[in-house]
Amino acid sequence: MEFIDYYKVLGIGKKASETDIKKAYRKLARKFHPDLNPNDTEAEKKFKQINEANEVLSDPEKRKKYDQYGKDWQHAEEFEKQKKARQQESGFGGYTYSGGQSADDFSDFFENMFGGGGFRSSRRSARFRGQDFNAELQLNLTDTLTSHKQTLTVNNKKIRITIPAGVEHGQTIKIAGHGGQGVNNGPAGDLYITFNIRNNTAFGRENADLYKSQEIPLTTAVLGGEITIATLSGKVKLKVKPGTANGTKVKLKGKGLPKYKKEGQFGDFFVTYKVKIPTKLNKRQNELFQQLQETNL
Amino acid sequence: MEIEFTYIKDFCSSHDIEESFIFELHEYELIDLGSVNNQQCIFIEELPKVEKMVRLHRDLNINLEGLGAIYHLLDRTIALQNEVQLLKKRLNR
Repeated sequence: MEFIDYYKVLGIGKKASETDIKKAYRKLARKFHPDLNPNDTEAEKKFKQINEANEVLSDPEKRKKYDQYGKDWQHAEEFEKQKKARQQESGFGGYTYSGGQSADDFSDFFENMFGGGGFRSSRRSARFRGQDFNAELQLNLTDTLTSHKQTLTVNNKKIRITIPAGVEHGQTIKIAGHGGQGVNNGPAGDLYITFNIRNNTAFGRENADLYKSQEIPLTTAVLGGEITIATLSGKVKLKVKPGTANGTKVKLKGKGLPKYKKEGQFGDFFVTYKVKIPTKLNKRQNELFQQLQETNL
Repeated sequence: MEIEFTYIKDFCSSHDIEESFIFELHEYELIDLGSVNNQQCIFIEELPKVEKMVRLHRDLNINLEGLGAIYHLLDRTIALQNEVQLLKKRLNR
């Protein structure tokens, strides 16, 4: 283990002021920051050295200790006392590069001088959040009409979740804290569930609205009338206005799907009329149409 | 179906940065943002770039204009490195 001349690393003299240290550090950090030197292991190594030098010299207490015992770390009995005393010390500020931080970010010299109980532990035994888990859940569209509870098995653990009414296809919900366990008592990750919803109805769907094409007889379209159509909440009678054109769209307010996280609110049900043109007429019908034609209809 | 994005608020809370910084990066056209479930998010392929910007900003106090210039120069550096590698290989053949 070699003594490291932190002053030399930063290219400053022993009497350098705090400003000088800061200035030298910034200058070198800009030059050797790993993100600015892609694929350059030498720069990364240099950056770590600069970082370490700054960690020591920018802290008056550490600097004093370093100046006093640094060179004689192998022999100084006093240094041993310092080693014992350092256990209560906490971390000190500096750059926080974390793109490639590894176990050898700091030198053995640093570790012996300032120990693993202080700065190093504050970095090395950092608490890490657990991994996020992803799961997919298949549901029928009719399963989304009401909120209900369902038990899932994720990584051999059973989790009971509430599936909110109106959840949409492709939608992802987060179950906080049900992902992987954290490291060093870090928080657990989250569980993300993506819904794959199969439309098992005869209706088209867009958000909370439902769509249906409904055939109506030509005579109903012309003269008006009443039809019955099936919705998800039962059969509904609809009045067809006289003179209804092909493609006319009618809205049944609130007869669509429940709106996600909006209790008591529903989408609409849109019915598009397709006027059925008769293709096979009996003799009487044919005569009647001919009579209609003669009226220049 | 894999989650291929992270919500901005989740990213910011885990990196301890202000959401406004991410939106500023987007305004400066340095990163692309997406939207999932009506919430703005960062897609996985964009994450390394965003994390790099955050590190440079935080570590070196580089402002947004500087980040833009750096990103442009880094692109060129990497392209040149690749070219050098290719030429070296050709020379060794």
